[in-house]
Amino acid sequence: MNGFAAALWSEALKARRSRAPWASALGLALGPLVGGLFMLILKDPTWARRFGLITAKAQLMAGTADWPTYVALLAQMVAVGGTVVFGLVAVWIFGREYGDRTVTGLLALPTARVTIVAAKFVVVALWSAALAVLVAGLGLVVGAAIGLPGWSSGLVPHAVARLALTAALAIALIPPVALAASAGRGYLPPIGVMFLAIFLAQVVAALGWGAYFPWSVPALAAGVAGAGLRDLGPESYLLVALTGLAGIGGTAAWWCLADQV
Amino acid sequence: MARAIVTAGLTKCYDGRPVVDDLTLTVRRGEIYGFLGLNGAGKTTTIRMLLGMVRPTAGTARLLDTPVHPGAHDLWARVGYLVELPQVYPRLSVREDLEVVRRLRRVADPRAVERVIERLGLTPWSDQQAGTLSLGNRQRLGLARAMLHAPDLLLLDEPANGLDPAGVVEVRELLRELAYDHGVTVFMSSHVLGEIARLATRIGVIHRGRLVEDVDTGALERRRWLAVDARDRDAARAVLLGAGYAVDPTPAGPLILTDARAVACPEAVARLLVIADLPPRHLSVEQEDLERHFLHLVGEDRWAAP
Repeated sequence: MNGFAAALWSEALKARRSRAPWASALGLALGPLVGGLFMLILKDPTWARRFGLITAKAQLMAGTADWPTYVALLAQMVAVGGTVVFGLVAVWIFGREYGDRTVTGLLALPTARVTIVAAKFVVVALWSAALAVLVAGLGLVVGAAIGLPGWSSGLVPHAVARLALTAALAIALIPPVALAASAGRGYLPPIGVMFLAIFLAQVVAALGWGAYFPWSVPALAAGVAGAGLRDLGPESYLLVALTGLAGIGGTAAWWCLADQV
Repeated sequence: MARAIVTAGLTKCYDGRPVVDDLTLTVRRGEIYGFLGLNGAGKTTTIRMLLGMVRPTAGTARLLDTPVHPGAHDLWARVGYLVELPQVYPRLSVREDLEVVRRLRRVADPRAVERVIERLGLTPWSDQQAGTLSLGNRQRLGLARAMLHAPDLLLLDEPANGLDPAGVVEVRELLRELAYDHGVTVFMSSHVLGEIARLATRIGVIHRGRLVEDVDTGALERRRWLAVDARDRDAARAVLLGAGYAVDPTPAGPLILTDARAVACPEAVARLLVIADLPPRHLSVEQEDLERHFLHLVGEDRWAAP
């Protein structure tokens, strides 16, 4: 077994044995369920009248009860909820090594530190991708269960592409959180960084410059606030990719070069 | 003799303040080197520098004839370590934890895990989650991680931490066996003087970041002196100085004569004082003990027994 395979096996085992995968799945699974509830309320106004305030909220959040609207809602949940939950996965994978001081056991081994960092990023990416698939799959089940109208054969590739693009953009923005977890040596600094980025993303998007701020891009790609892919140019995707690469490089450099005290 | 550890002017400063200051030491292969110091003396920082976890501000370190560098992977395959209290992945079992170490250390033989579990007496807890282990068993797990790959050099920071008396003896015998029968070099830091005194073949004392002593335990044991006391201590001191004895100028307590002839023939000293009408009320040949020596070195000898 080479170093990367060993590191990947180790990281996967640590993840499997923890409660974090279940907690993250539960957190993100709420998205399709709540979205389905909104669709149900909008689909049956008579039944929904009993829910008063929530009807108004559902109209504000979603608009109409059909498959295209529900897919857009799921994409938005992946963009915003995914940024938070994927980030928390990275906080757990990287920050816990520092928070629990287990990192010491990973620093003077025949397996290179950069290999361990790479394995951690692969596990975070696969874990996050699995969560996105869970949202899509659960959304499909919930949408079918409540009998949403507007299904067409052309919807499937559109829905898959939209969800996949949004998830990929959110996953690409994980590495800076991993860097903050490593440099901040624990859980709280990266959580602070993550929420600051999400807050700034809202502000910058509201000012109309969201296409040029990496953390605004997934939400814009998902169609939050009526935006769409037409609002994003190649430079937006490039910015997200560069931010992710900078995070990967920074995390690897931190593990390899910084004093580990 | 081949050298396992060589440092030259090893220094680490934080905010301009030296935590380890110009540390130069050599540990020979097969030695058990006790690295003593008070809390905050620089022991753990030194070990972290030896493991490439902290970059020295100045100076160099070589382990097993290889310069220390985070990327010296061939070197790390030959080094086992335990730094501070062993931290564990709480939901992995003891066996899984060691399996992770085996794979990351590229040990091909899967039976290495069972062997080290047995050797460290962890068999009853091998399927227990590491997070539920007692402090002592967690320490055993830390030692098992350090020894799993049969290293040539062990760097252990407070290896007896948390162990019960039987565990302390067990680990001591294990380290002895590794050093004497298998030629493993053991560099262990501690502030438990009794443990170091029983185990180490060589001792270094670090105080405020500086190495203030580096000595074979045999040489330490050979340090003997004659302690003499009389009612008129000043007069006795003058008589002894007049007779050519070297008398340590201690401000209080008995007079200390370090001459070999005083240690070899204390009755001559007694006779001299009796003739001068200063009969000794205390006369004893004493041998250095590590606790007294250590406290003297670090300037805390007000606590040492006279």
